[in-house]
Amino acid sequence: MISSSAKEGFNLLLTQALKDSLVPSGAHCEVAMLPDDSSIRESKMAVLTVSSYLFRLMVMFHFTPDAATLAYFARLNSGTADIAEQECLDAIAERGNLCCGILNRDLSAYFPHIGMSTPNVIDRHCAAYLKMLNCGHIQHFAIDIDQAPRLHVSLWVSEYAEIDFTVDAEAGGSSTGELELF
Amino acid sequence: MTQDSLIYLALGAVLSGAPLLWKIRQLRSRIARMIDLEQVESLKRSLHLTLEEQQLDIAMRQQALEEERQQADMELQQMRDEHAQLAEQFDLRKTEFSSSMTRVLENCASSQETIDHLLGLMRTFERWHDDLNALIAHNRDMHRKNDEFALIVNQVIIVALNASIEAARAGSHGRGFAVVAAEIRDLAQRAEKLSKNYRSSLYQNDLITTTTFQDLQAGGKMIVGAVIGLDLINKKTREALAA
Repeated sequence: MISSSAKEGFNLLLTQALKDSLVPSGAHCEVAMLPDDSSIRESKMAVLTVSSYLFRLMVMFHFTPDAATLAYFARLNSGTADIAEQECLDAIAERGNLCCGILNRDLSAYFPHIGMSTPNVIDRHCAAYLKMLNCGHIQHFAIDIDQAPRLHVSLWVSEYAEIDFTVDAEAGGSSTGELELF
Repeated sequence: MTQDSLIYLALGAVLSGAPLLWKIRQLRSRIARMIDLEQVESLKRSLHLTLEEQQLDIAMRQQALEEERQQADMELQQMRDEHAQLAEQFDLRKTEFSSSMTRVLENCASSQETIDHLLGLMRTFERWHDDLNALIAHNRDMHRKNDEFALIVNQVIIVALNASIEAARAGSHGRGFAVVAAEIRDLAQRAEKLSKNYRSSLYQNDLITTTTFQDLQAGGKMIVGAVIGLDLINKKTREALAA
């Protein structure tokens, strides 16, 4: 079972990680928690997993490879929108990797033994089967950034023991330390 | 006459008494300065007694000192014996410690060897990663084939529909052909249903494959991280023991 403070902690740490990884410096960003996934209609998901022997946490970055989305991630990564589609997809996966790297680092303060996967892109139809994973905590996020299409991210946590920790909302995630990236 | 005599007598007495008194005083003074033999003798005895007492006291003190010295010698000897025993025990312990240290260092070296082998697990995780990529590519190919199959099935449905229309136009001559067309359409619809079902299974398969392999990959990183931590501790222990 995941305690309510642990759920808040996961949400808070992911929110911080999203702001630190998906937003260009100086841009305004609002991360809102959605009650369900009914408004998420993107066609693909970049998936990453952060695992401990106590839980498995999956972060899904929903996206549709349309011009606006690809241009945003291209600008975010290389400063130019003029790159090929595959490079844009790689840019999305890389941003997801950065976000989960931050989350992985911040969670390691509470769970010393933890590891992170590489990203994979799957179709949104796969999301219908996520309930098979018996997740104890599911939260969907909407991210609004200046001059960018609205992004959606989902957090799924499966627990294999009692999970209880408290994140200081004032301190948020740590801002120092090395990131573990692939 | 008598009166004169008395005067002369008194005068004579005074004249003769004064020297006598002076003499008496002198004698008294001399007697006072003379030592009393008895007193001297008494003093001598007292002095002798005091001397004997002091000699006795000195002898007793000497004896006590001698006893103390002997006691101190005994204690010193005892301490030397204890020191020798301690030195012997220290040497023994030192030997034992040295032996233990050698064993601990051997164990550290053995742990290091195991840790180095465990770090080789990375290769296993890399292999799993490659397998995952192969499996995902395989799933993608199955998606492509299933999509193609769905297109064919759709085409068959259209063809069957057209065949039914043509059979209807042929009237009674086309009745048998209409039955065949209906049967083909029925088969095509079953194939379409199966294709959709298969498509769902492939998406489910994609999710299971991806999440399972990601969990393996992340778990692998967790294990390697723990082994690297052990490696660090083991190396620090060896350095501390060797210092």
